[in-house]
Amino acid sequence: MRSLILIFLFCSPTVASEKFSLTYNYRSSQSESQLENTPNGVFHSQTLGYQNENILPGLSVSGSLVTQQPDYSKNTILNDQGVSENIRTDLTSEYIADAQMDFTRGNNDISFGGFSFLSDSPYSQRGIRASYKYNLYGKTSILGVRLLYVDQERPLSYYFDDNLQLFAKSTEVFGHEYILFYEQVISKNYKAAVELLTSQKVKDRPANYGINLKQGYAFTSRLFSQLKLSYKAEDRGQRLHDDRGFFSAYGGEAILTAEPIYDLLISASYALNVEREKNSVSGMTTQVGSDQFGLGAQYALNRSITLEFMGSYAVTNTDLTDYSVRGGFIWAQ
Amino acid sequence: MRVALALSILLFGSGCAQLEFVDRGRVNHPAMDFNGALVPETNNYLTGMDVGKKGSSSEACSVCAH
Repeated sequence: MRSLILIFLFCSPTVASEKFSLTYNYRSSQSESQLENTPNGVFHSQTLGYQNENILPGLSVSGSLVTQQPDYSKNTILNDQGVSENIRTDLTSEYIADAQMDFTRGNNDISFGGFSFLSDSPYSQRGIRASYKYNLYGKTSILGVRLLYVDQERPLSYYFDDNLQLFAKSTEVFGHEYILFYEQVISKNYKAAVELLTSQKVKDRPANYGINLKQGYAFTSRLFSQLKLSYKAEDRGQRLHDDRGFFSAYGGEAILTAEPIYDLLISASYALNVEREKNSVSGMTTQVGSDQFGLGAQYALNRSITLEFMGSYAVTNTDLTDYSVRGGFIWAQ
Repeated sequence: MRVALALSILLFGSGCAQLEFVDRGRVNHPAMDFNGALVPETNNYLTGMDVGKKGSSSEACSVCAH
């Protein structure tokens, strides 16, 4: 009896179900494209994450708190005189909370989540998301849907229409996204997935439709590859709401991952993306192509602590550069 | 008693603390997870079709499932 108790004491309380993470992100982006909510310049953020995979049978919860120090000093808007000016903001930090609940029962996986800015921001957002997956044939086939609804604020800005009349843009944008996906294991080394998606920022951009194709191939038990192709375009039958043209984008990404020893994963990637904007009045098309090179590593220091690192360098045909570095650790309890 | 002690230390030392089953078969290996890449996501530089907070690409959380 004492023997059984001893074995129980050593083993039972140590099931790993809780994880904590701390991540630091750095990004230096020199972008002149004026994308909404995309900071220019140097950007820092810190993410504290938590996950409990066994809160109840089949139920896991996760959440994160992000502190970020964006740089909007180079983001400009048109004022009511039609003159370009910088965004006026005194903020030094933004805080974002995110929470998600995942429930698994039989072949069904369901998740609900939401996020919200907790502090002031020129581009404050809040949103909810949900997903459902149905697993077939021992998870060799997975069919599912993902839904996302977002409400975003932005600074008051104006634009000139085709007749050079000044109009105000909406300061609040409601967006939604729907994704239907199917993943199939084809052999012991090969699997593929397809995603069909549509999204729209209502009264801001026309609806867009896209497709993502993903393939994974294991060369050996220690060398893996992924190839991703994507295409997305806005519906040109819909009305534009400002001076921007119709958008489309396509691209591809190749990722190679090696596992030289059991506790270490190393990844390298290359991505090529081509973005286009077709002006509806002049018919001119603006095209920006970007090359992105990525590196990543994950090392299990011991049973409890896993270290992570990743970085990227991107350059466009317009000589814009973008660096990012991310590092942190996961502590499993 | 000694056998039990030795057995429990052996079990503890050989992974009893991690009772999760991790299938590292080729197609189920973490490196084959389409949503769990070890490299940063790509960014947009001209078009802004994404909905949601992806724009700053900084909110990535290592343990969250999203």
